[in-house]
Formats: sequence, C-alpha cells, structure tokens
Amino acid sequence: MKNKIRVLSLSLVLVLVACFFQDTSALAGARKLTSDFLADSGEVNLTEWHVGDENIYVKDNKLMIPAASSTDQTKFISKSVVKKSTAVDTLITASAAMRITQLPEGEQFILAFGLANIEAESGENGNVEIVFANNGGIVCSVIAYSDDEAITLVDKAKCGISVNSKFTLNAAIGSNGNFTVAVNGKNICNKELPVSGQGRFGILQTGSCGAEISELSVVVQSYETPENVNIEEDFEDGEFDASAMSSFVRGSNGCFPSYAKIEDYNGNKVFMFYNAGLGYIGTRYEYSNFEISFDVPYFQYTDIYDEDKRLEVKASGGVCLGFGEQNEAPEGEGYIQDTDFFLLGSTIAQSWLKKTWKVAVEDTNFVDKENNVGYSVKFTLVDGKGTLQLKGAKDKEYTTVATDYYEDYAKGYVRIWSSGNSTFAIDNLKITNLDKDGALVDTDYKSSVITAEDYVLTDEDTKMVFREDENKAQEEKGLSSGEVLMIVSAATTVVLIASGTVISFIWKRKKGGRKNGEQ
Amino acid sequence: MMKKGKKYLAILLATAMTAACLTGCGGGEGGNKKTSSNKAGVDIEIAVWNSGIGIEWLENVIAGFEKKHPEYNVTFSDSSNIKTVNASLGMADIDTTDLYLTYVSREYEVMEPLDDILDATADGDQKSLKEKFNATYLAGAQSEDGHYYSLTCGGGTLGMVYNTKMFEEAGITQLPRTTDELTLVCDTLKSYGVTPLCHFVQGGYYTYMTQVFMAQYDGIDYYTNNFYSCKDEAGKSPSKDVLTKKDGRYYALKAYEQFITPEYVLAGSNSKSHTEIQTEFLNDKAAMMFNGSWLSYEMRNLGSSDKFAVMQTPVLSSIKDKLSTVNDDKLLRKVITAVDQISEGKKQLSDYASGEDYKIGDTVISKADWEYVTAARNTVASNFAGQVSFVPTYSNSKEGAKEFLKYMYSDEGLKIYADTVQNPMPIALSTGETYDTSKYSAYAKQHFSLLEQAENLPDMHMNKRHAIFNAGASDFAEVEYIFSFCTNNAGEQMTAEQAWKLVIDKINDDYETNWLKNIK
Repeated sequence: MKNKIRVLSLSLVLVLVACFFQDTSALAGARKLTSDFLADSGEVNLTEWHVGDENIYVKDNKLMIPAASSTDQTKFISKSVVKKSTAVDTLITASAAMRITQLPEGEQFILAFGLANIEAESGENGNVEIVFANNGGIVCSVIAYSDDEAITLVDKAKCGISVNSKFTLNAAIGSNGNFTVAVNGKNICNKELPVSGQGRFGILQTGSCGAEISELSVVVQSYETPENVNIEEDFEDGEFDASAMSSFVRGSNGCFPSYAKIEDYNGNKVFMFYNAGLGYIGTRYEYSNFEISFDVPYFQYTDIYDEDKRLEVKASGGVCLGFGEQNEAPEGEGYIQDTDFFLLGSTIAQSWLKKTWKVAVEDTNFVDKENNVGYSVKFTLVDGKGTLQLKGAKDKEYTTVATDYYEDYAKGYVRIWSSGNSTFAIDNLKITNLDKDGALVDTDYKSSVITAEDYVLTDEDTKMVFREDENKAQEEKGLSSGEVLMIVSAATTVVLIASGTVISFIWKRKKGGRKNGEQ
Repeated sequence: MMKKGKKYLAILLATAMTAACLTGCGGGEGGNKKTSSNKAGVDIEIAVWNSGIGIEWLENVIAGFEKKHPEYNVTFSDSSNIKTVNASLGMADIDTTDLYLTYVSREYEVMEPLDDILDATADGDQKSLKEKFNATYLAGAQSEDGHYYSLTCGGGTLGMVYNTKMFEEAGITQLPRTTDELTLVCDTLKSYGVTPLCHFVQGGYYTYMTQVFMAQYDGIDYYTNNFYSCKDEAGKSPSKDVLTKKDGRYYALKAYEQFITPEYVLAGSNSKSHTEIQTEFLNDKAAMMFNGSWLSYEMRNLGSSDKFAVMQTPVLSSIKDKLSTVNDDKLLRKVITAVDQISEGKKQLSDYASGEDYKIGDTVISKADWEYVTAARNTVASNFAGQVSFVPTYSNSKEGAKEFLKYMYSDEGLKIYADTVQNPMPIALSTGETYDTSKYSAYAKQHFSLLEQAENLPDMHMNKRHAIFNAGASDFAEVEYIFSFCTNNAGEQMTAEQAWKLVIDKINDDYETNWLKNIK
C-alpha cells in the first residue's frame, strides 16, 4: 500500500535557510534581561535605568558620576526587578569596569542589590551593599540590612585598588541565596545572604564621590509562571470552553459562505475556517513554557468553482500559528506583534517574524493533496527554545522541522490564525503548561455557544398597511382641515374652469359672426 | 375686454390651484434642529458644538430661560463636528445664528464684545458676572484691545485620573506630589504587574499637563503675559527669543522622559483613538490617565465611576531650580504636603510660620519659596477656553442672545449646567455659596474641589495669546515628544535633549519663513 505519509526524517527534504543554536543560557520562560546603561542615542538609557541626579551623564561611552555635584541623592538605579525563583540558578549578575575618581574619607561609594524602589536609600532593609570607603586606601565591605540591623558579611577587605585606578567587579546572587563578589578577579565574598536579594541594583553614595564606569552589565534572570490552564479540545461536543479559549473572525476572503465554526468533517467535529477572513482560535490565558499540538485534517489546496464557473472556495492561505501575543483580544492582525508566528502551507513551513528558518516541504511526501489527508503540528517552547515538529496525519512520530531561541520571550497568548484567506480545519487542539511549578488555575466551564432570543414579531409589526386601510381609518377619523380646504380649492377650480368654458361658449355664440379683430 | 376677462379668469384659477397644492403639503423638522414650544416671540438661534458634555444642559438652560423670558423663542442646532458648527461663521448674508457655543480662536471681526454682559448683574444674582469669574481665567479671556469677545461655556478641569483599586492593590498610599514621585509610583505599579499609564494618539491630553508644568516653572504671569503673548522681557512682541528660551517646556520634557517610557505606557497608546483608550482605561488596562472632568459625564453610562479618582497634577520637580531653600525632592514633597493640609483645612499657615519664613521640621523654608510652591501646587490644568460663547456681529437678535447669556451665566443658569453635566465652570455663585455637589459622583466632586482650590488656570486656548499661535507656532513646534518617549520602535525614540533640539530647529526654520508671514 502506497504510504504517502512517511517518516519525515527519511523522506522529507528539508532546506534550512538558517537554524542555529544560541548560548544555552539564553532563556525565556526563564528569561534573562540585560540592562545596558547606554542607549542607542549615546545618552543614558532611561528606559532601563532611573537617574536620580541630572548631573550623571555619558561621555565617551562612559557613565560619569561627577564628584563636585554628588550628594547622597546621587543615584543610578536599574528598573529591572529581581524576583526570587527556584527555577533559575542565578537571580542577578552585575559586572562593571570602572574607576573611582574621588572618595573622600568618611564617605562611601556603594554598589547595592535588593533595592526596594528607584528612590531607595543606602541602609534600607533588604539592601545588600558593596561599600567602598577610603581608610588610608580603598577598602571594600559587604553589608546586608535586615530588621533595621546592619549585618557585616565582609569587613573592610583590602582589594588592591586605589582612587583613579581601574578595576573590575563581578557580583552575583544565586537562587540559593549565595552572594559572591570578586574585585579584579579576587574573591572577596562568598556568603549566604540573610536577606532575599529581591529588588533592584543601583549605584549609591553618601556624597562627594565620583566615578567613571566604562562597562556596566546587569543581568536579571526571571522565570515567568503566568496563571493558565491546560487545554485539550476535540470539539466533539459542538462547542469549546470559552473560559479557556476564544475565537474571532472578521470578514471573508470574498467567497461565500464564509465562517469560522465547529462543524462535521469526515465523521468528526472540527473547528473549520471556511473562506474565512482575518480571525483566530486561541488562548484566553498567557503562556510562558508550553506545548501546543493540533491536527489539520483538512486544507483546501485548490480553488473550487461551481457549475456556472463561479469561484466558490479559494485555495487557502497558510495555517498561521502565533505565540507571545500581548493583545488579549486583537481585532486586527495581532500576530504581527507576536514574538513569532509560523506559516504552515502545503509546501512551506516558515518562521515569519524572526525569519531565521524556512523549510521547503515536499508535498507529496508530507501532505497528500490528492486525498486531502492532513497533517499534525506540534510546537514546544521551553526556556526560550522553540521547537517545531510536523507529522503526516497517519504517522505516529513527529519529526523536528526546526528549532530556534527566543531570548526576549517572556509570556503571551497563543493563537492559530486565519490571516485573511483560510479554508482549513483544526482538530484535537492541545495546549500544555510546561512551567516549573506552573501556576495552573481552576476555571468554571463556559460554553462557547452564544445564544440569543430571536425577536418575536407581533401582529402590529407584521401588519401590511394599504391605502384602503388608510382611507378607511381616515374616514373613521373624518377629514382634516387641510384636506377639506384642498377639496374646496379643487372643487372651486373645477367650477371656475367649467364656468369659464360655458361663459366663453355663450359669448362666442352670441357674437357669432363677428369678424376677427373686431372688439 | 374679452382678453382682460380671460386673463382675470386664468389668474383666479391659478391661485385656486396653488392654494390647493399648498394645503396638501405638510411642514417638518429635520436634522439636528430643535425648536422650543414657545412659538411666539423673538427668535434666538444657537449653534452649539456637541462635545463631551453633551447638549442636555443647553436644553435645560433654554427651558429655564424661556420660562423667565416668554418674549423669546430659542432654537438650536448641534453637531459633534466643530467645522460643521462653524461652517457659516462670518457669512453674514446666510448665517442666521445669533449665538455660538463652540470653539473658535481670535475671530474678533465677527464677534460682538461681551463687556456689557460681564458688567451686568443677572436677575437674582448679587454680583456682576465679572466678579463671579475666576480671575486668572478672565485675565486669559481678555484680548489685546481690552475687550472680551468670548466666554467659556464648556471644557473643564483636568488632572491625573487614577484607578483607586489598582493603587490599593499595589500598596500605594501616597499620591505623587512631584513628577519624581510620579515616576516612583509608576515603578511601584510596574513591579506589581500593573501598567501605570495610558494616553491616546498624538499625546492624549498631556498637552494640558504640559501647560501646568510651564506655569509651575515659569509662573502664571510669565506663562500668560510673556510666553503666550510672545513678548520677551524687553517688551518686544512677537519675539523668537521667547519661543527658543529654555523654560518650563524644556523641564517638562525632562520630567516626561522619566515616566513616559515604553514599559510604563500601555501598548497602543500612540495609535489608538481617544474612545478606544478611554474604554481600556475604564476597563482596568492601566492605572492612570490624564483626563478631564467631562469623563464623569462619559462614565455615567458605564456605571464605573466609583473606582476612579483624580489627583492634582504633580508639581514639576525641576521647580527646585527656582527655590533657594528647597533643594531636594523629598523636602519639596514635604512642603507640598503642608500646602495641601492648609488647603484642606487640616492645618493653618500659622502652624508652619517661623518669623517671616516657614518651617518644616527643622528646615526653614523661605517665604518666597513657600509662596512659589503654593502657587505651583494650586495650578490646575483646564481647557475652559476650548468651548466658548460669542455673539456674531451680524446677528439680528443681539439683545436676545445677550439676554440668553446673562441667564446662562446667572446663578440659576450655572446651577442648571452643573447639575446636568456635573462639570465645574470657572464661575463662582454670586451668593458666595458653593455648588451643591452632594448628589454628584465622587469623581465630579473632586473636580469641583480642584477648581475651588485653583489659584491659576493655565489654558493654551486663551484669547490673550499672540496671533502667532494662530499662524503656525505652538509650544513645541508640533514635535510629538510623547510619542517619541514611549514608542517601542528604537529608531524613533528620542531623549528629552533630542526632542528639545528638534523644537528649536523647527522654530528656527519656521519663525520667519512661515509664522511671521502668516500672522493676520
């Protein structure tokens, strides 16, 4: 028996335009957020940093903190917030290459973690501070603040730096609460913190301190666990759970009928996009790490004409799978704003936004156009790694078509789209939360079927009004004053015309033989 | 003889037939034209812009006026499109309007002076209208020749409207008093997963917030008599130096740069319409939106006014540059708290007195600084000059129109307006009593309270502004700074410095080549 659908790894011809693996520490779901102090404009990056002193500026790609104008309100605080999570190894790392240009005795120059907000002060509860002081030479302490108490973890360590000498600093807070600090590569702290370390990173001081910072990188790792539900829908009940999913369609592709609804196909109920315009079926919740799979049992590959050669059904545009969508209820082409969307057609599987891979698919070995035997799709996204897999409808195993990393992805809605011209069916839709310690919620089932009571026409609504009826009604009412006047006027006109005619006739007869022109 | 006879007969027949036709035709009223029940009397025709406050108030005022003045018959036509309302303005031969309630700017040649209305005391009132009007509003309403050609009949006060529930959930108990503190509030909201701000396309209503910042930084006198009069300190007017001066506008940009950022602003704010964004705001998509008192009228249909409140516009943190004894934002906030407590009646000014100066804790605040901060704090955004009444010079019923205005601005008329739209006007009641807002929504009450406390009402639509502002000039030379600060498109993002440079470049390009030439 001809087996048109073969194991993809043997018979599928894949052309990979680009398929690459990034650094495995590129994370999403687990997410790495890097804050650069420099904006593209060459000025301070105010999108990611809060500057508490207008005197802080950028010069020659260095962040300059001038000593002359610095006070205890001179602060430079990151807007990224560290949140405790066991799902990542390291909560935050901060690396800087800098030199302290001025550090008067009695003053302190501070790199702080765990700051409560963008106006945090030194010494507040929750802070972990790397404190540089001038004690006849620069010394470095590490102090944590908890319950209004200063807990010294490292006390005035000599770290081999002096005013105006360049040095590097690397610090990190692990998810196990361990805090490490190294100055010029030399470890000066490796201790467990008495505080969570949650909060912001910032550069503070007590006043009159100056610094030049040539490199500053703060990387916050977070793990998104949005609340959501697992979905498994075969549409056999003729409806779906509207508390978990939603659908929308606008317009058609120009052919009719046009719809997106659940209907029978080959003995099963499916969600059918038929001559559909822009629309989707997708999640009501956002997903971080997830897997989506669904069957495409029917895909219209060719135009269909009726017996009068009128176009009934257009060949369908691709199945569009989008994720990372921020709009809860898009009514336009929401997928354009997604982290990425894939177009799955009869001959192509393409990452549309990232454009890093495009797979040309030999249709004879994958989709059986002649018999319209469909295929199945599975997309998995875990810690930023996206994997797209396909299989023929009758195959048991999926084959990986392409993978990519989405380092900026945090969470979003997941949807299957009709991008404006779609005739295909979806079945066996499954979406699974793959977060570590996922935040699954319970919801009450809500039918997707919308019912509305039809308007009931009354006898009065359906009554036909004829002139006879009008006249009858009028007779019963009697004539209006206007109508009376009109009748009188018309009658008068008739009388006058008739009279005029008669008078004229009599006059002519009387004057009978009068010659023309005689008065 | 015969010819004459025929002629008379034809005329008689034609007359009879014409009469027959006309009696068969019915009259009708169509479009947005309303007639009153008082068919007899002198006609007064009103053209009104149907803005956010609707027209129900006008119907109610007309009813009250006709009851008091049966000798008049008032009709009105309305449209939500200002251009439609103003379509015939100036066309004396076809415009039959006797009174406009709309927005126009500086069309003095077709406007009748209303000085006599201001000097008059309406029936039942105890003061002249002039005495009832807010002084700073009136100062801005006066044109350069000293006359008053139009007076407010709508608009309202504006402030930062906030979702009290979202604030509560984020643990915010102190409303932001300064722009630095507003940034802190945005940061706090964001850390709780709440989108702090939203606005609609083309900067939303922030332009009104900017007017407050300008007046706070430069003082209301400079704002009215220098910037918008385009008059420099040497008295030269118009003067490009006024437009290029690094004044409150520059510091407003520096403030916006801190809190109008991509992560603090609701996605879609730069492209969605006013209605779309307002609906999203009212549906908890963002915690704050700069909006106006008219929102109360629009919220009534949604039944959602309980969770929304309005805060006074935060004071521009940069005013510290003008102060000698207040040099950090935390101290500035403390002074503002003291000013608020005095306004609310919780404290007296004497509670802070220290000789000729004042004291907050151990810190002495100079008298000048205290007054500067008080004036800044009591500066309220408004756009009362955005909807005005005026009588066209060619009206056939000027006396009637003015009588109508006298009634509209009388205590009785003002109460009808206030009760219908729950929107404040910069006109006090002549008796000295305050408006009875006991049945108004909490949101509406707050706006009335804002206006009561207001010392200054900066309004960029004021009549006093120099003609150059009708010739193309504007405060920021049409630079869309709000868009540039919060766009997600990195290529279009600007810093405050870049935005200011662009403003100066545009002024330098257009001042002489376009604006000066276009001044009428």
